[in-house]
Amino acid sequence: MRATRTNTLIVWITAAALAALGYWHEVTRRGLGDPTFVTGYMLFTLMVFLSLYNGRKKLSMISLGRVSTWLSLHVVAGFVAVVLFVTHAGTLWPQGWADRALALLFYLVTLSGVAGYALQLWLPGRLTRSGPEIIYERIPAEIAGLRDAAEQAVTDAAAQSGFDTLGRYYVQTLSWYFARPRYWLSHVFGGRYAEFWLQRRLATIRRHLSEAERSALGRLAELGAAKTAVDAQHAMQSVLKGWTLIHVPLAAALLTVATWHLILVHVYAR
Amino acid sequence: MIGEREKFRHDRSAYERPTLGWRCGRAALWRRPCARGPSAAGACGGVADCTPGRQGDSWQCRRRPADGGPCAAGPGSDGACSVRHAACAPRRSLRVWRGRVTLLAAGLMLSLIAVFAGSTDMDATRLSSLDPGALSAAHAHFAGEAGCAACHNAHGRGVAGWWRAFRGVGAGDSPHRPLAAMCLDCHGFNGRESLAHNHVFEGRRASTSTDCLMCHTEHKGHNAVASTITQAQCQTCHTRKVNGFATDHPPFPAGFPHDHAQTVRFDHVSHFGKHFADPRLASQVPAGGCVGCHQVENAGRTIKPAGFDTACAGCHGDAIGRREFVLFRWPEIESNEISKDEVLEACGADGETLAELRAAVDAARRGTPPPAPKSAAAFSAVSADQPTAVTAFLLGAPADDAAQYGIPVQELARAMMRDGVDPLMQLLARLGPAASSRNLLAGLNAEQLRRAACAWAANREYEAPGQAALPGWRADALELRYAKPVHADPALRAWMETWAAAAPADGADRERFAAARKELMSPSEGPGACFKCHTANGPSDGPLALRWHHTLSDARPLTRFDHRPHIDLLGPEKTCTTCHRLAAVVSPTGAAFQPLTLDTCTSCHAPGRVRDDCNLCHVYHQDHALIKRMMSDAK
Repeated sequence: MRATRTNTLIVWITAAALAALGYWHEVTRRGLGDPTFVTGYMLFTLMVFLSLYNGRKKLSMISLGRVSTWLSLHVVAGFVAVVLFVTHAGTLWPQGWADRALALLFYLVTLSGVAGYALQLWLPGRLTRSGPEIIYERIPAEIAGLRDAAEQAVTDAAAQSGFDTLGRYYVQTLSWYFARPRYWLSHVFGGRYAEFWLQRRLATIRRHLSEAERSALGRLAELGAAKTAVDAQHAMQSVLKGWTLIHVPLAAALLTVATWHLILVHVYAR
Repeated sequence: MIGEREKFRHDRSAYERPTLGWRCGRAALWRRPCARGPSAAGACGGVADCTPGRQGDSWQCRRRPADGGPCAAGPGSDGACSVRHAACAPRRSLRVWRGRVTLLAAGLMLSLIAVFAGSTDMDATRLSSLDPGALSAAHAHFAGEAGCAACHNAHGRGVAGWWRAFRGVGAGDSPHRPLAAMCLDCHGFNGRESLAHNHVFEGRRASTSTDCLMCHTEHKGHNAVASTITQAQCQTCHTRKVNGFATDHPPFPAGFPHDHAQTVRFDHVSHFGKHFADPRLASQVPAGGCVGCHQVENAGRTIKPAGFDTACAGCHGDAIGRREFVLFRWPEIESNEISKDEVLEACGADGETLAELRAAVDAARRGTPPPAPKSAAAFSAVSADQPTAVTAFLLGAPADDAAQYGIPVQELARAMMRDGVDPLMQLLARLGPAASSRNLLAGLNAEQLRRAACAWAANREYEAPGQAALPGWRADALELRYAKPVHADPALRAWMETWAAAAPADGADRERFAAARKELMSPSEGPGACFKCHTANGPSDGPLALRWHHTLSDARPLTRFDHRPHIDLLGPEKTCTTCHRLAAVVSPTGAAFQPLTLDTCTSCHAPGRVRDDCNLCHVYHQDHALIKRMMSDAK
């Protein structure tokens, strides 16, 4: 509730600021003034502020406000930056290699930011629905635990039944599935390919197993379902973490080129 | 397994440190990670299951409950854990990779900027981190070898130059030259460049200082327009708000657009109303109405007339040839101051003298007294006229007083008798140095002039051999005249321009000068027929501005109009009379057409029809021109 109120406040303040900016820009432009210098500095300041969000996450030990508030500010500031950029440049695709590089980087950062925000709206709900949430760093241990349990179940079944059918089938087929996360893309897009693959493999061997082994096969089905859930967690969390590998470096490149642009403006455009 | 929440209890699961730079190498291979994880330096922390603690004299196993609790073997006597594992190879964490890629991206950009900063030529196809975009076509070729430095004085001056520009300081002690000031190296205006419209308008305070960069931008591409100004921007300064041409534009001035002085006078009313309607002149009237005389194919702000030969010569060509210029006329003199012997010595014996000599010889043979020579009789001047006003001014004598001009005229005749043209040239020097350089007497036959002077000195008329067939100077009877002039005759034009520019200072001369100029430039008689159509503006005794050609009026420097699209739209036949309706009489200012009203324009230029914004008809700058320096620099 509090976050919603804060976000609403941020949106209204931003809308008012944008309206004021638009009015000032038009009045200045009509008066043959040059608003680009001011809008340029505003945009650069906004870019620096946007980059502080990454620093905020690194300084989690210091009380710098709620992360959700920072995220809201980051998203809104990003939107304002797009408006300012178009206002400042006066075109979507400027002339000159230097300015085009700057524009291209800006668009890439914007697109990656929008994509990241969309992922943050889309994936967390699916993470919750896909089963118990696991800390990303603990997933390898979880997979290792599932693998150990599966191997134990197969070993126990062989000991109890005196047959190695399930054991050989596990080694030849199912061990591949338990070795590491599988079907990453299918999990990212909410597919059930992993589930179908596992059920098909388990169904294939079922009729060849003894009673004791069938009991172990049921255990393997449980472990496989758990592995599928872990894989889904891994796939979605890796996307949530991995998109910053694109967004943050692009933002750094953008800030570098923007700083160069600022220097050029002061040296050449006055 | 995954559903077992208890396994995440603090004493059953490892404490994850995602902010550290390393992660377990076993976990990276999807094996069970060790409990302690890599050290901050990246060393494997899972070689042993625990770090035994000393209690008194013995070592105690401290393996975590999550890993099975204290082991059965327990620590060795040296305190080392007895459960040993092969060391893993810890991997860098995602956070570290992100930091590295981020630094790499920033470093890559810096490298690219540095590498391509060296490429600074004007070739837009080459990569350059200084490239702001292609110059407009108008400027692209003028930068020349100077390149960027033609406008940006910090360019190519290194880091120090950039720092000075950043601080607004120029090289040495000189101030930094702003970009707008560089524009003025090439561009000039008829007025202060920093004033709105380059002009201080009467009755209004000087507007806010303006700057080229307020409207003009560059590096927007080869085909980009360097300036764009909107109607709303005009409205910022203009106190009278014009939101629409049809609704808010002030009425055109009385007489618009024919209210300015014409450079070439032409009475459209009488020509169209009387002469062109005369059936006797039908064959000589230019065909096609307006376009018969006006060069519609070269239409612009004005549609210039085709010129005298095409438009006027059919009716007025012969009249000009009859308007001869008499420079010198042998006047009536009271006494002959030039002796016969002087004439005989300078000119030799002419027919009359020889006849007198022959009569004297015959009388001597017969033994009779010689007949009395005519010169011995009472003096009777051969001329009864006054000298021309031009001659009177040149001689510095009044034209109506034979007692005063007699001696100077005869002195001139005496000099011309000896030296031909030179004495006249010396007299013309009174008009100023330009007179001699204009070669006012070009084509005058010196011998003919000398012979004429001899005749005049002998108080006789000069009989010129043959008739004048071509334009030129000719002495005949008692006059030296420029015969059979043609339109735009260079000799007569030189005379007109010389006399228009001259302006004597003292009183008597001033009067004689005015009379002479009137005689020379009078539209009603003499060679001044030019000024029936061409205009000469100025005081009667001061310098005059002659307008030989049809020129654009400078009355409205901030207004523009193009006839072409109007003609293209309506066709030449209908277009002219749509806007230019003939008046009943010529106005005192010379306008032969009814004034144009806003309604004429707003019938088309209105919202939803044809453009009606300010920029269509008004320009911002006053008489913009390029300064020559740019041309010399470009070479």
